[in-house]
Amino acid sequence: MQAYVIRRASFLIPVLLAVSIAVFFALRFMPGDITVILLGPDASPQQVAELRADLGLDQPIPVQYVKWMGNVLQGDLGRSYVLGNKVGAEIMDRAPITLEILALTLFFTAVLGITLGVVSALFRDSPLDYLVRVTSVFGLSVPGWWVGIMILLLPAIWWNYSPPLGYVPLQDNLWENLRQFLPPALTLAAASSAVLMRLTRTVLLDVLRQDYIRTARAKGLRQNVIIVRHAMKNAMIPVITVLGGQMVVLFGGAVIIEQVFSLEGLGRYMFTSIAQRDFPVVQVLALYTAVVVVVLNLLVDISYAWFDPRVRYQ
Amino acid sequence: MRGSTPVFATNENGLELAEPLAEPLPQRLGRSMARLGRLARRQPLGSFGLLVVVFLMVTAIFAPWIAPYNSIAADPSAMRESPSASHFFGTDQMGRDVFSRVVMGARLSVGVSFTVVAISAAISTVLGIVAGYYQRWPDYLLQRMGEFFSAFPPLIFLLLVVSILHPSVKTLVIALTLPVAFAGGSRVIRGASISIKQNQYIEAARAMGASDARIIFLHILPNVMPLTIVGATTGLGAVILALSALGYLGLGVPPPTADWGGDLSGQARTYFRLAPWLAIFPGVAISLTVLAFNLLGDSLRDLLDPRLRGTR
Repeated sequence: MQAYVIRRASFLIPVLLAVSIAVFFALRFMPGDITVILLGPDASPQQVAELRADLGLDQPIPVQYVKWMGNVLQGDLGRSYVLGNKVGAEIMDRAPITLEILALTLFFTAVLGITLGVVSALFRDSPLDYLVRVTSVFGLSVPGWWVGIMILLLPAIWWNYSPPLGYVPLQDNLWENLRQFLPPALTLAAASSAVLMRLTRTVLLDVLRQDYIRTARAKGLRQNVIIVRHAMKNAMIPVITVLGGQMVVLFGGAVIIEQVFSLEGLGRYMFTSIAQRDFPVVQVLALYTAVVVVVLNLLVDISYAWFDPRVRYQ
Repeated sequence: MRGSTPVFATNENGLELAEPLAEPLPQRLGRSMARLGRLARRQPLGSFGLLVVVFLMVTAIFAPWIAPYNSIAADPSAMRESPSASHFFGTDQMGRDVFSRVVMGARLSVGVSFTVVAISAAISTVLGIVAGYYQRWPDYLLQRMGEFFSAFPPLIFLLLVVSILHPSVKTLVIALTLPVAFAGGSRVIRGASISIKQNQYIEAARAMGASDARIIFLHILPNVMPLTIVGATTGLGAVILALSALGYLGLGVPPPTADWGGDLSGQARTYFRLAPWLAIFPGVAISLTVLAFNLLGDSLRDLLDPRLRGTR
């Protein structure tokens, strides 16, 4: 187990290097010149050359990469081309927004997904089961960002209601904060809880067919005890793993949902930086996301062995 | 498949008659209708999905003849008109008929999603089988490639690729194909190939002197095909969702081409409150399409994968 974790973790570094190199080089082949964006179309060739030298863009790309990576490893994430401020500080400013969305989403995903999945499995083929299943297919099919648009649009038309503009921190005003964060979180959770619900249902039905459940029933255990103590314990293994996988998807989902609800989180930072060709920001954010995702993936794989003693890794 | 018509008719003793009996046409038609009816009863949701998919494909193919107006020509005399008999879904901020744009958008969505899914299903099946069957270095390579792609959240990968290449239909196809072909889909096929390879009938085939090519085409490929088919069907829905998300972010097909996601982005957004139909109809089109593919995919999974029968 320990050897497996170490071996898997040792793969992370080449993967992260590959991601950072791919993003770094690819960005420099992007159409749209940063100097044109910064100086406007009327800049003289001399001004352009000066700015390129200033930003270090006149050097060969591999040299630029090594310099950048060296700085990042020493904790200097660089400055934004467009705003000129420190990327690290900006990330710290915006992280609470994205983290709150993701935390709320994860909470709703787990609660809704698992509860509905269990209910659906226990009352299999009842009208309730069908209702939950049909709802979950809708959750998978309707684009979250469009649901977000409708959530903003319909109350605005019907009751002239709109959530507060501008970020309200949690500690300042809980109610205003939730008015701001519940809609995006619930929107994101709709799709991921549908994934989780379907999985919970399938796995639980599978577990309930196993011999040891029949044994438990034959022993005369109560239904509640069988479900909670025997069936759920095993059924939760793949569910928790998929929950980890959903986190990765949600990371991308945050980009679009922050765009819909005009929340200045990391996702929106990524999106605008790509549009503005703000290389230092995109590089750092891509690497940062990759680190989080790769670690999440590793935790997911390890969790298999952790939750299920039958799984053995060599 | 249960309930298939026997090729040869049998007499009352159950013996096969040498000559196939030609059935009168109406009777045969009636019988296939009955079979369809049975399918509809057993898989009502899947049949609904199939119906919508067929409807969608017909719309996509005949879009220019179905659309009552030119989908890209602005008409300043008819800006932001609400839905009426002449404009079923109203008109947008440039006076273009929303119904015509939704119909033409079907063409783009169907075209892109089928292209992407066809290419990525082919690549992922080949890669998955090769990696799973031969293991060793092809497998190692595929796994590392999978790790590379899985280091990006899906949407962020798409954002980067589409911004780096020029936004165009070709770019979108490339961006949407890569992660499915080299990571997602091929991993599933690889896993299946490994488990199929361990069956005794593979060993028996090899003992009889079958070549790798024969084993792959005769034994492994037919066994992974259900996975490919199910993956492709749900993949169609996923591709349309991703395509529309990119369109909404302004990274889809460049305007003025009709695009469900793109029609919900940019300038149109400022008019949603005044002209809600602009926001509603393209979104409903996306949702209904993805829903149909998902329902169809679920049914196919039930029918093709005996292990999951009745659990979903």
